[in-house]
Amino acid sequence: MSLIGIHSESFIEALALRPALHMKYTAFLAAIESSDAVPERVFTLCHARIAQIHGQQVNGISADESSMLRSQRLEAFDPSEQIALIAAEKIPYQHHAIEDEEVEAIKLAFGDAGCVSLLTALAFFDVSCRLNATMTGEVS
Amino acid sequence: MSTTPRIGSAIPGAPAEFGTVMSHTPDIIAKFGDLYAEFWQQGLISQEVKEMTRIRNARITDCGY
Repeated sequence: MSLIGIHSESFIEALALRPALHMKYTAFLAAIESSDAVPERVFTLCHARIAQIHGQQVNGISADESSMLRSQRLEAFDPSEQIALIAAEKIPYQHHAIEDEEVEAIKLAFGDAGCVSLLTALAFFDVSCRLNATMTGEVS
Repeated sequence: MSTTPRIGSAIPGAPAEFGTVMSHTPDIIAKFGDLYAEFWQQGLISQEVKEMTRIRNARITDCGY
């Protein structure tokens, strides 16, 4: 799933009013998405969960996966996906509650570069949802 | 909330701080720098207003920056 141009992120269209800002924002998101250290599916799952927390449209996962995410049945996911989803759960409203051990687990699963990529991605998935809510008012 | 760096510096001999930790992912930090410079140096909103909102945001989110 691309981070750019999907329906739930139509704030991207508003950013086109500032072409240079739009270009650099999308280039930044693309750089995050192109990380070799973190599987695309991990990004997709985390993005979906953060969108759920914000009450926004979820893309790129099945209805069953969406239901499992919503009810936080993490055992349905692979261990590395679970590790990422634990941090994703806390990013929007509990970012100070992320524990040292949870970050250490991310580093073990994805390496230092993967940890930086993933935490940056989680933060900007949250940013995207907040911008979307602010600019488009999309909340389900 | 942790008070010690959780990820080491990517630059040998340099302390762990935002830029040196983000340097584990050179392309991401480069693109972030491009974006941040565009945000701060261009646009209709004055830097004073941007800085006020940045400080307010940092206080609300309990950020040390």
